[in-house]
Amino acid sequence: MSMLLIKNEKIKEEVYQEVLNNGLKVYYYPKLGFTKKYAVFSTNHGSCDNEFRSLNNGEIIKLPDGIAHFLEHKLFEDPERDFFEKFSDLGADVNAFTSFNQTSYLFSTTENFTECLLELVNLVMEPFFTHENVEKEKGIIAQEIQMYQDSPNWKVFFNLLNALYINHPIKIDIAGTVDSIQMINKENLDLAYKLFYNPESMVLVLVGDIDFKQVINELNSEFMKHSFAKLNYDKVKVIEPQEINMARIEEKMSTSYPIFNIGIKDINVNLTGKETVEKDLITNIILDMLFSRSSEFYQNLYTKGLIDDHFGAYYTGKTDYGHTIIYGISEEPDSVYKMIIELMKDPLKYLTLDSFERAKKKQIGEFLMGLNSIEYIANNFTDLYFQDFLLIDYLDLLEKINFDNIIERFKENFVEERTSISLILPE
Amino acid sequence: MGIPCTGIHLKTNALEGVVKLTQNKIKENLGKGINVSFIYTDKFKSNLLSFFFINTLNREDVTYNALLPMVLSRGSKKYNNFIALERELERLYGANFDYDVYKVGEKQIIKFTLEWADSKYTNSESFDEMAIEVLFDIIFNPLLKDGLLLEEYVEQEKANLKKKINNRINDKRSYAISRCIEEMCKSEKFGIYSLGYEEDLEFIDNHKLTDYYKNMVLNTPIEMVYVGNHKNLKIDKFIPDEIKYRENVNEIPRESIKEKSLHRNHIVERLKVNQGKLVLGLLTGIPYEDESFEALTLGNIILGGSPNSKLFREVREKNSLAYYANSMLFKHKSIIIIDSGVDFKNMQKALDLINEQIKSIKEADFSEKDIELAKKEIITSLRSVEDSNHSITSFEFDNIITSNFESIEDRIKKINNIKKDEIVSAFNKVSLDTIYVLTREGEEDVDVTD
Repeated sequence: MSMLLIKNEKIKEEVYQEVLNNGLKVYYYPKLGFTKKYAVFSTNHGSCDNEFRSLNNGEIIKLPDGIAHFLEHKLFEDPERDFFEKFSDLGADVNAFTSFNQTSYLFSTTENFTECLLELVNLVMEPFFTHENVEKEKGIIAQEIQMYQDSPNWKVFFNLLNALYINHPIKIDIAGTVDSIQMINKENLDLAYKLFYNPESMVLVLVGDIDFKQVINELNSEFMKHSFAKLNYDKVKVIEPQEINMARIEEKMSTSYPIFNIGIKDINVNLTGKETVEKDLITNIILDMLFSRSSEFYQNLYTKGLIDDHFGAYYTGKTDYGHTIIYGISEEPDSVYKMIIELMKDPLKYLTLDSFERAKKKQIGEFLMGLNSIEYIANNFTDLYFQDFLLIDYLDLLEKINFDNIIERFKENFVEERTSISLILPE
Repeated sequence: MGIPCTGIHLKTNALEGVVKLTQNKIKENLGKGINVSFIYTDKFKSNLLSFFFINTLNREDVTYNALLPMVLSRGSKKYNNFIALERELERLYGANFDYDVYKVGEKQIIKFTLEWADSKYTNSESFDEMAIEVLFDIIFNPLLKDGLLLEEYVEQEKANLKKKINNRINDKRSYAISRCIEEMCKSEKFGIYSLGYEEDLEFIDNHKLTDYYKNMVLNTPIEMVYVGNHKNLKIDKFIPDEIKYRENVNEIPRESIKEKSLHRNHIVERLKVNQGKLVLGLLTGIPYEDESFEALTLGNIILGGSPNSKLFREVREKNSLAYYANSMLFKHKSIIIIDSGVDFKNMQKALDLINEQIKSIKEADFSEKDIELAKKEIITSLRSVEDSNHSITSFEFDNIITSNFESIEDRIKKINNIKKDEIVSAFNKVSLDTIYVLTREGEEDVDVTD
C-alpha cells in the first residue's frame, strides 16, 4: 500500500491518505500538539436513502422513514459489551449522528487512541439486532422525535423543506415519525445495514497527533475479522421537479413571536466534486453580501424593528438538491418576506465589488478559525469527501472566486417563483 | 457546511471550569480591579481576547446589565452603526465580535469577545492592534449624543430584549430547567432570570442607562483573558485613564448555599407540547471550596452525567422512557438539576425511577467500576480544555472568580484519590427541593409524589 500525502503549504496543513486491504479509505489530518484525538467513521447513507432497486430483477425496496437513524442507535447494541462503558473505560467519549446523506460514528479521546479506534470499527461492523432490542429502542426514539416536535426551529425548517420539495425524501424528518418507526424490525434493519455499510460508501477520518502507520496496520488486521455484505442494489434516483411544492406553509405552536424560514429552491443540481463546493461557496458569499449584519438590508430591517439578531441566511446543497434559507423571528414576517422579494428583483446596488471582497475575506477568516477545532476538521472533511472534494483545497477554491461568479449565480438562483415561506405562529 | 442531524445521545457538560493553566501564562494588573491574563500558545490559527464585567446578580440591575451590551454593540464613537462596525470586522478577515450576558452562580457576567485570524495565514500585515481597538471602542467609547447613549438605539434594544426574554419559551428543555431554578430559588438571587424582566423595561430610558453605564465602568471588577501567540500585545493603552485610575471597586459576594430543603415545591405548568418535561431541583449544601465537593462531582456523574450513568441506564436504556435523563451540578450554587423529556403518562414512573437512583447513590449501591468511569470522564474533560481557545478562556475565568489556583495535574490527583465512602457521604447531604412538571392542557393532573 502506498501512503499518499497531500500538502497545503499556505495554511501549513497536510493530510495523508491510505487505502486498507478491504478498499476502505482512511484519511489522517495531523494536528500536532493537540491533546485530543478524534476519529469519525461514516457512511454516505442517511435519511434520504429510502428506496433501492435490485440490479438482478429490478425489484424495488422501500425502507421505512427514519431507518438510517434507527440503525445508528442500534449499532450501539452488542451481545457482550456496553459500548458506552467500553469507551468511557478507555477514557473516550463516543457518539454518533445521522443527517440527510450521512451516518457517522465518532469518538474523541486523550489516550488509548488505537484501542478506541478498533472498538469503533467493531461497533460499526458488528450489528446485533434482536426483536427485543429493536422494540425497546422504539420508546427512546419516539421520545427523541417528540422532543424535536416541540422545537419551533426544527418544525419551521422541516415545514419549509416540505414546501420546497415535491418528491425528494429530504422533506421527511431524519428520525421519521412515531408511526413510521413502528414499521422497523430486525429484518429491514438487516437489509438497510447491508445496503448502507460497505467500503465503497464509507470513509474513516482521523484527526490529532497520531501514529498513522501503526494505526493502519492495526486496522488492516482488525478488518480481517469483519466482512462486508455485497448486495446488488442501486439507490433509486429521485425525480424532483424544478417547481416548488407550495409557496406558503403555516403552523401554530407555543412560541412568543412568529418564526420564519424563507427558502429558495436551487435548480442547478446534479453537479459533482469541485463544482458543488464552489457553488455552495459562491451562494454563501452572495448571502453574506445581501443579508449579513454589514449589509444595508440588515441595517434597514433592524432599525425598523422588523428583525433582531436571530436573522441570518445560508445555502446548503448536495448532488441532488440545494436550497437557500433565510431565517429569523419577526412580528411582521410578511413585511420581511416582501422586502426580500423586492431585493431579489433589484440586487445590484447591494451586490457591489466592495461587499464581495469583504464577504470573501470573512469566509477566509472563518475557515482559518475553524481549523482550530479537530471536530470542525473531521466533520467538514467527511462532508466534503462525500462530495468528492478535499478540505485541504478549500481555501484555494475560495480565493479563486471572482465577482463575475457572484452575478451569474445570483441571476440563476434567486428567483421569486422558487421561493417559499414557512411560518410558526404563536397560539 | 453545517448539517442538521440527530444524534445517539445529548452530550452534557460534566464540568464547569476548574483548571489552572499555568504554562506560558502572564498575569498583569492594569488598575484597581482590572486584570488581564495572557495565555500564550501557537496551537491556534487565531487570537481570542475576552473581556468580562463581573456584577452581582440582583433584581435592580439585572435588566440594565442585559440591555447594556446590546446597546453598546449597536455602535461606538468610531463605528457608529452595524454597517461601519461589521464592515471593519470583515476587513479584518472576518474578525468575530460577540457579547453574552449570563449568570455564573449569583454573579451576572457581561462578556465581550473578539476573535481574529492570525495574520501569519492571511497573507497580510499584522492587524492585531486594529482588531483590539474595535473591541475597546465598543466597550469604552460608546456613541453618545449630548452626553447620552442614543435614544433610538436604547429604545430599539429595549424592544429586542423584550423579545429575547419572551423567546425563552421556544426551547422547552432549557425553559423547563430555568423555570425550575426560578421556583426553587424564588427568594434568592440565583432565581433571577439572567436576561432580566419585561416589566423593568418601561422604566429604563437612555438617561438612566447612560448613568448606569458610567457608574458600572467605574466600579465593576474587570477581567480580561487573551489566548494566542502574540507576546507583545499592549492592552494598557486601550483602557481610559479615568477607569484605570479609579478608586472604588465593588465587592462581589460569594453565593449563599442552602443546606437542607425546608419544604417541597411542586410546580405544574401547562403549554401546548408533545412531550412532558420533568425537572428536579436538589440542594447539596456543599460549597465548591469544601474538601468533599469533588466527591459530590463524581457522585453526580455516576447519577446522571454520562451515558454510563444510572439515569441513562435505568430511565432510558432499561425502561425506554426517555431520550435524555441528565443530572447537572451547578458548581457555584451547589445545587443539582435533573431533567428528562418523558411522555405525559410516564411522569410518575420516571420520577420514581429517578428517586430510586438518587437513593442508590446514598446507599452506596454503585460499583468501583462506576467510580472509575466517572473519574475518567472528568479527567478527559480536564485534559481536553487545552485544545480550544474558548474553553481555555472559560477555565481561566472560572479560576479567577473562584480564586482557585490548582493545576490540572493537582486536580486530577485529587480526583483519583476519592474513595467510595466519600461519594456516599457527600451524597447523603443531597435533598430534593423542587419538582417541576411541564405538561399540556387536557392531560390529567400529574400527581408527582415521592
